[in-house]
Order: sequence, then structure tokens, then C-alpha cells
Amino acid sequence: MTTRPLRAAARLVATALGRRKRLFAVQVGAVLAGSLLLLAAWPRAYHVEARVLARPDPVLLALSNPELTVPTEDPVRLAAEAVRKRSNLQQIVREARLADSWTTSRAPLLRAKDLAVRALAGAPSPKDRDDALVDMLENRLYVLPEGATVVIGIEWPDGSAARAIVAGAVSAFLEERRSREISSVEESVAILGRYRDEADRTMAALPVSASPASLDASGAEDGGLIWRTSRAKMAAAEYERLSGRLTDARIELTGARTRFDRRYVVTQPAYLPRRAARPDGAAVLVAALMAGLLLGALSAVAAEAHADPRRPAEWHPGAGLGAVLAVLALATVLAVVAGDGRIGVAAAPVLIAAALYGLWAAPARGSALVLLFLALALESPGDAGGQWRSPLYTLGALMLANLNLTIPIRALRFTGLDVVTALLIVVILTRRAVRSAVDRSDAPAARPMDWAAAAWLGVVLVLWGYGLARGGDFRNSLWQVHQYLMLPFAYFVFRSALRGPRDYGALARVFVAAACVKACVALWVRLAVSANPDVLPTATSHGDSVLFACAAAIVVALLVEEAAPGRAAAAGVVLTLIAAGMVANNRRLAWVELAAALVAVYAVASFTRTKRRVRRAITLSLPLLVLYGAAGWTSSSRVFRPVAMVRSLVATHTDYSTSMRDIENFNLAWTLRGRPLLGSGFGHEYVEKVKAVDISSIFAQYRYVPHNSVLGLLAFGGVIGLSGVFLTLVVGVYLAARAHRFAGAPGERAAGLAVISAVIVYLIQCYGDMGFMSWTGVFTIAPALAVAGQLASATGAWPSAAKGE
Amino acid sequence: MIAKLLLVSIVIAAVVLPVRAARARSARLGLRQAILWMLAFNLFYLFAVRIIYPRL
Repeated sequence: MTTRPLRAAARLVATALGRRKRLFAVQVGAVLAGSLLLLAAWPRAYHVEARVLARPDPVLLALSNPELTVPTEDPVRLAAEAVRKRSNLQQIVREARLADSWTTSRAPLLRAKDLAVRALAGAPSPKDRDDALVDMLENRLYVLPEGATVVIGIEWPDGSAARAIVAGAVSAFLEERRSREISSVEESVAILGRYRDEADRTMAALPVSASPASLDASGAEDGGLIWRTSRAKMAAAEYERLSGRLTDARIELTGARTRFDRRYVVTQPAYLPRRAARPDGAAVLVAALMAGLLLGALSAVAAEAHADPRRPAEWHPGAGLGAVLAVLALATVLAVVAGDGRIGVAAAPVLIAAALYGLWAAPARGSALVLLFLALALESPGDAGGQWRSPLYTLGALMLANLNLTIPIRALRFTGLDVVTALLIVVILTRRAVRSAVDRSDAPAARPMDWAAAAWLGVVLVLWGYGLARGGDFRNSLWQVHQYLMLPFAYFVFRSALRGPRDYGALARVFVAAACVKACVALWVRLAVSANPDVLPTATSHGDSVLFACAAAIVVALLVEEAAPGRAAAAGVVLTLIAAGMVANNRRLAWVELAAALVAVYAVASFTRTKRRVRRAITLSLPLLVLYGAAGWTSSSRVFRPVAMVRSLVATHTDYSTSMRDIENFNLAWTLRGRPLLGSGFGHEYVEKVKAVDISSIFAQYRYVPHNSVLGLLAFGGVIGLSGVFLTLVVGVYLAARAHRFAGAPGERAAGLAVISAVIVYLIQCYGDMGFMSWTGVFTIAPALAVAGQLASATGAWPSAAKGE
Repeated sequence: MIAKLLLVSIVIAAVVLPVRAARARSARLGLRQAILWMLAFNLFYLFAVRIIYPRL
């Protein structure tokens, strides 16, 4: 990407601000005033929290009852259940008189809502109102364990009511514990007392002559007397036993009472909050100012573009600009206050509007390249083992993970990439429909590439429907098909957005820039989190192997084809940085991919001076390489780590990870046995004929998404699925290789080599590490296939339709 | 080692076969060759994974 568009954009904003001062000021003022007004009417939330220390007292417990074997409960763990019992919540509602305070504490906005609801549905009965308050308490009252402390808190619209609720909850907790720990002993004492009294009455009912002492002394042998004697002895023994147990229980009761006060200490009682926790007035004002400035700038630019007759029609947002800006100002005000002054939320309406406007107005190639950079360079949730987050984490999560991870709406089971790609397709199709000149292509993609991408989509849809018709699991099938489905659409975007060979320089720069960003991130994560691969196995993500290997292959292809004269030093710096990133990311597969890509580049590249030099260097260094390999074959020294890596790839004895992969491969081959033509279809797991280590606790979908995506495709799609998907890649390689032969310019030849390298790297990643399921894979191979199709047309390697063939 | 080579052979074939076919004089003939060779290889791969691989 050159800095020219950025400079032009900055100039456009500066000019617009200079000319539209009044509009700018009105928008800033509107957002500030609107936020202040809304803030006044916005519901308050007072936060109150209490803490109860629930420490064990084993000394007193052991002293009072050394023979106790009943395990003691963990009161902290059971606190939530104790406090949030329905009967306890009802009691809190009654004692805190929430029904009375609720109406008076309502904010003006909520009062208006209550009036509207009452007008429509009538006033609620006292019972309904109490039930609603209990439900609300159940949702808002939180009880959290913090070590040996129970934290009880709430956010409530009235401060004194919040204090009463938390105080009531603490009392409920203590009462529950008292009931559990003392009442049970009290009941035991009562039961033992009753039984002892019964034994006492039994003894008293016996004749005096049958008392154990007199019977022993007489030594009578009369049968009736012996029976009476035995009975008296048994009653006496029972009385003694029960008396002993009763004494123990009474000691335990005294101990439990003493223990309870020592064991449960309210370290922080419920307090009356001095001011509302939400909304935060200062934060809201700052956010309102920032969002207002942003909105003002956007409004000025939009108005300027709207009024400029020289701009193409597509740049005009339409006649309702005023209405759009007014709606945007309202949305900003709402976001400022509802987001409680969080800058990201406050700026979201303006940023989304700007992004949409940019997508609509800018040439599709610019949008597609920005999308590509974001897809490749942003971090996904779970990168760096979840141990490090960049400042752009939220943007990465929005773009690369399902939106419902960030926005709490379950239905959002798609990513930001899906949304932006869909919008780009809408823009492209609309421009085609109105015959716009904005995205006119120099070289339409060769037809076979389009047909192959369509075949990919068709095969995936058929396999998906087939798998679901066979009883497949829809939810888990989404894990399998999401990226497969996305690839043809991403291909369509790039083949329509890129104009032809003159855009490939920018495309290459985006790839290399993204790889450099990720390499820097990997190095930083190694420095900031851990350099130890046992602690942090991967510095960024597994999928970044594709990015690193492809970017390095692009640079090497440009060098070998002599397409970037005088840039050898810059290329050296870039390659060193990427190599450092690969080392930091610690993926063996990345080196395999790079090596395979370099072999392909060397094998297919033209006989340039550089290639001859490389060949000479390889020939000369071959004896040294053989010696190095032989010397280090059995060594574990760091000097011979490359040799150790090669050995691990070809050795017959395997490590734990390789054994697990071998078992998985065997199971995939076994799954294929029943249905070789169409496989099991998507939505099914592979058969675990041989049980490996169960990793479902880490990755529940592991049988839907095997590591070896190629064998997985064969198992789930059979030979028809495999052929349908591979057909696209084969056509891409064919067109790229042919275009390389026909290309006249070094840059075009380098582009052909880059496409072949990208397919090799992608396939190895698919074979070794879930490549078909990676966004990096999708956004590497989709532009590569687009380049293959266009390049074949541009170089004449494939006869274009215009020539009548 | 042979089992590994057998499984990874499809990755190699998916690149080598079309690059080889790209040398054909006619673009359409070369494309037809690339697709047919790949389909034939996929059938061999199916046989290899189903029959040969479990016995290695």
C-alpha cells in the first residue's frame, strides 16, 4: 500500500473541516448536548458489596469432638445456592421494602416506559410485582467465592435499597449456615434426649427385684429371673450408651455455637453508596466529546463529497444525507450513554458508518486489500495461547471469531469477515448492475478458474446437505464448512476487485506487511510472555505458518525472477524478520512449507542470472550440507537443530504428537471404508476405531475437525468431495504455471511462482494442521487463485473470451 | 516412512501434475490433461488409503 491514498484522505478531511466548520460544530455540540440530556434521564445504578470471611476452625472442632468423621461442607462453595434460594429472595424483597422504593427510584426514562406499559397492559398486581422483583434480584444479586471470602453484591437503581438488599443477603447467608451447622446438632441433641428418656422409662418399669445389682448378688437360677436380669442389664447398657452420646452431642452443640461466631466474620458490611456507579458522568463527557469530534469530521467529509460535482456518482451517499447524519448523531448519543463512556462503544456508530461509506465509495480493490490485511494481520482469540492480547484484540475478535463471542447475541454465529465479504460482494454486484467504471478489470479471470471455484462451492454444499440428510449435527457441521464455504466467495471478491497485474504489487506488499506485523508480534510475545516453548508452544497461531511461508516465497520469487531490482537488501531484512518470526512461532510445519515453496520456485522459475547463481551456490555447498547433515544426524546440539527437524520428519520412531496424528490418520482411513464415494458428509465425526488420548475437554469438536484436513476431506466427502475441492487448486496451479511460461514481465512471472507457492504451502498446512479450517489459509489461497485466473488471461496463457475462443 | 509418503503423495501430485500439464501446446488440452491426471490420481489415492495404508 502506498502512502498516496492516505495523504489524499488526510487532505480531503482537512479541506472538508475547513469548509464545513458550522456542520462540524453543530454535530459536536449535538452529541455533547444530547449526551448530557440523556445522561440526566438515564437510569442510575448504585453498587453495593459486602464480604464475609468463612474460615475453617479445625482446632475447636477437634477439641469439641475428636471422633467426628462427618466431612465438613465448604460454605464458600455453597454460598450462592444458600443466598439465592427463592424463599430468601422473597424475604429480602419484603424486609427491604423493595416494592415501595422501586417506584420512587425509577429514572425518568423508565417511568415513561412504565406508563406506556401500564397504559397497554394495565397495572401489575402486588403479587406479580413482588415476583418480578424476586426475579430481578435473582438475576442481579451476585455471590462470588474469593478464596475463603464470600462476596455478595448488587447494582440497583436506589442506593439505600441496594444496601438493604446486600445486608439482607448477608443475613440470609449467615442464617442458612447457622441452620446447617447448629440446628442439625440441636436436633441430634433432642433426638438423643428422647431416646435416653425412653431407656430410662424402660429401666424404671422393671421390678425392683430385677435390678442388675440384686440379681448378680442372688445368683438365682430361676429361668424367669434370668430373663428379667438380662433385660435389665440391656436397658442399663442402652441408657449408659445414650447418655454418653448425648453428652458428646451437647459438647458439640456448645462448640458449634462458639465456632460459628469465630468462623463467620463480616469483614465488609453493606454500606450506603455515596454516588451512582453508573453512568460515569466524567467518562460519558469525554466519550461524548471524542465521538462528537469523529462524527463532526465524518459529517463534514460526507457533506463535502455530497456537494462535489466532480466525484463519481457512487461517491454520493444520496439525497437523504441530512437524515442520515441526524440518525447517526442520535445513535452516537445513545452509544455514548449506553456504553457508559467507553470510547470504543461511543465511536462504534461513526466507525461503522465510515466503514460502510468507505466500502460503498472506494474502489473494491482498496476495500479488498484492507480486508486481506485485516484477515492476515489481526489476532484471533486464543492466539498466543490466550496469554497475551494486543490493543487490537477486540477488532481481531470481531473480524476473525464469531460475533456472538464479543456481542452477546447468540444468533450472531458468523464473523466480521463474513459480513465485510458479503458487503463487498453486494457493492461489486451493484456496480456491475449499474455498469460502473470504478472497478473495471484489465484482465477478467480465465473461465476455468471461475468454474473450478463454482465446483468447489457446489461440492461443499452437496456434501453439507448430504451429511445433514444422514442425520449430521448442524451446529458442529458449521465448524467443518465455514471456511470451505467462504473460499469461493472470497475468490469472487478478489477476482472482481483486482484489476490485473498492475495491482499485484500492492497485493504482494499487503502479504509481506502482514507477515512482518505477525513476525514482530511473535517476537514481542516471546519477549513479554515466555521464551520457553513448553510454557508457550506457539507465539501467535498455527495458521500463521502459511502467512510466513507465503510471504517469504513471494519475496524469493521476486528476487529469483529479478522483478525487484536494487531491493536485495530490503528483501534480506524482510526475510530475516520473517525467519525470526517463524523461529518465535515455533511451528515445524512452517519450515517444511517454506522449503517446499522454495523448491517449487526454483524448479519452475526462469533461468535468470539469479537462478544460475543459486544453482551454483547449491552445487558448491552440497558436500558441506551432506557433511553437516551426517555429523548432526544423531546430535541434540542447538547447532544441528535443522538436522534434528529433518530427522523428526523422516524418522520411523515417533514422538507422542506424531503417534497421535498416526492414530488419527488411521481412524480417518477407517471412516472412509463404508462410504468411499461421498464419505460420511459434513456434520459427522470420524470413527475412532483406535482410541487415542481423549482431547474433548480441550477441543470438543476434535472428531469433526481432524488435524489432517486432506484425509478429513476424504473421510467426510469421499473421492467426489476430494476431487471437487482439489480440482480448484489443480486448475489454479495449471493456470499459474502456464501463465509463468507465457509471461513477458518479471513481475508477472514472479506472480505465477507466488501462486504455485501459495497452493503448495496451503496444501501442506491442510495436510498437517487443519489448513482448511484456517482464515489465514482462506485469505491466502483466494487471492492466489484470483491472480492465477487473471494472470492466465493477461499473459495469453488462456485464450480470453474476447478473442472468440 | 512409506505410509507417510503414501499419504502425502496427493499434496505432491496436486502441484506436479498441473505444472507438468502446463507444458502442453494447447491450453485446453493441457487443462483437460491436468484434470484427468488428477482424477486418476485421486482414485489411486482412495485405493491407497483404503487398502494399502492400513496394511503398512
